[in-house]
Amino acid sequence: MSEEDGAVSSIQFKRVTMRYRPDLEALSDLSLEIREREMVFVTGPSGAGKSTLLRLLAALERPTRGQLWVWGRNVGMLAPRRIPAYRRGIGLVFQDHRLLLDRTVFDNVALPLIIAGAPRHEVTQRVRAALQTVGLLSREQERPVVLSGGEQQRIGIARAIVARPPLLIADEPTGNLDPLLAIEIMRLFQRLNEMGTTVIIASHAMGLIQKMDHRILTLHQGTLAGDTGASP
Amino acid sequence: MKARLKSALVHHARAFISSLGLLWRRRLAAVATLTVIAIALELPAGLEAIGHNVARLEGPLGLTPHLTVFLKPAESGREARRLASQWSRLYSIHTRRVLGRRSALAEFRQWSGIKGSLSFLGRRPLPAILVFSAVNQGPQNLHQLSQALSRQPEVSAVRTDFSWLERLHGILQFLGRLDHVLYVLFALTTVLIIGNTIRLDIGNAQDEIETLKLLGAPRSFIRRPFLYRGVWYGLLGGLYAYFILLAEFAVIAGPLARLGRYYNRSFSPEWPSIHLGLTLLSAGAVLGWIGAILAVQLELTKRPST
Repeated sequence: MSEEDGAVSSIQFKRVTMRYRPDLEALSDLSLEIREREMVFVTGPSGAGKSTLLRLLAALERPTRGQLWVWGRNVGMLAPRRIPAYRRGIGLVFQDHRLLLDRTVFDNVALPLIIAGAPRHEVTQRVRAALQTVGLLSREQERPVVLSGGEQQRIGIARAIVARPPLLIADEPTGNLDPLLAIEIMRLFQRLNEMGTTVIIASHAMGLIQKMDHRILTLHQGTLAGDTGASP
Repeated sequence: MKARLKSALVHHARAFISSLGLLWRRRLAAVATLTVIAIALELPAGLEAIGHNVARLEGPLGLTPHLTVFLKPAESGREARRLASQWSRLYSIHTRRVLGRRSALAEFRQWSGIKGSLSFLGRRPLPAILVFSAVNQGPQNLHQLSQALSRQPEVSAVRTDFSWLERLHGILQFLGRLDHVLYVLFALTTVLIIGNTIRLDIGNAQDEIETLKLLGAPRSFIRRPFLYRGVWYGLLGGLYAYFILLAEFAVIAGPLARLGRYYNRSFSPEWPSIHLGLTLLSAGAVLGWIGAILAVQLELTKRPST
């Protein structure tokens, strides 16, 4: 397998198996492709392998078997020192937001840019643009603890998109939100996708996903049980 | 390239300043830690500063060693003065007194109170005597000087009175060595205190570290604030130690000055210098850096990587 083969699609899982323990196989021989600028939902019951799929994409785990190619790179073979740079190309959104509570909203959103070494004026400009996108520019100097769950999730999204990564991964981003807020967050992801970002969202909120009219990958016991609504 | 360098410098400056901000936010705990660091740095520095003042008392206390040289009976008073002048230049010693044979006899007669008996010993029974003082010379040098003078053909005998100096130098050498041992022990203590504080800081910042790793922060980025925090602990600990030292001197300067003036009216204690303060600051910074490096290596390596 050459790097060029992997570069055909944005993301390729090639017969990927992920085993945490000998008796615990989270993904079994999974193969799928996700194209650039696609918006994909990954769904399935608890334990189906949704989070594992995202963890592999974020290089938080290495496949036990098979290959995962992202932008022409075999993620499973990345040297540990290359992983931080790889992760900087991905926007991650977590169910529990993972905000730093002792810093302001602005500082939280600025983190990926500061890590990347962006100049100060660029940090200010991009953070404000990201906060504008999620509709929270007016809260930039507040601490996350004073924000609602939905607002905290939008801060998490602003942080994920501030460095303008080509790939956005979200793990149960609406898990803790009421239905109205959940729709609002999903629309936000849709807008980001329309702006050119590849978006992959793991969620078990089937009702919400079906309303969005995007490709849905259904996992069951670590295998691909359904692939519907794929973009042409 | 220039923009990258500038950005890297900005990062370092930002991490350096924000590390200080974190100490400020946890100032109560920080003050307790800094006090321990300051005491550990101050103890050997204080001992050295006091030792330095005691060494300065050596001269004013009248503790200048003397060498008394007895010339052979044949040497005249004029010859004695010539030799005194020559040896003073040759051996860098001060001539305190030159007693010709006549003066020596007169002085002995007056001092001993046996005027009558001395007349039986002839006209000039005592030799000429030279008394030298040797300032700022160690016992080793004084021994060599004494032997050199003894070998001179005009010299009959050399008496020295520096056994007390050997004892004093022995005590000062012991204190100096003890001070070095204390420096090493307290430096180690400082490294361990700072290392342990940083280790606890890393433990408390686990969530933040995990988040930073998920956002793609390289190891150097995660380590940086902790390393700078170690430097701040050391720097501030050194500054604190210097102030403790000044306070200590404010307390003991009066009694020390009075003690010194019993022996020399112009004696005044020498306060800890700015140079010593800067040494404490830089030593603190280096020890803090070492402590932080050890803690970061230990903690960030042993915790599972995200």
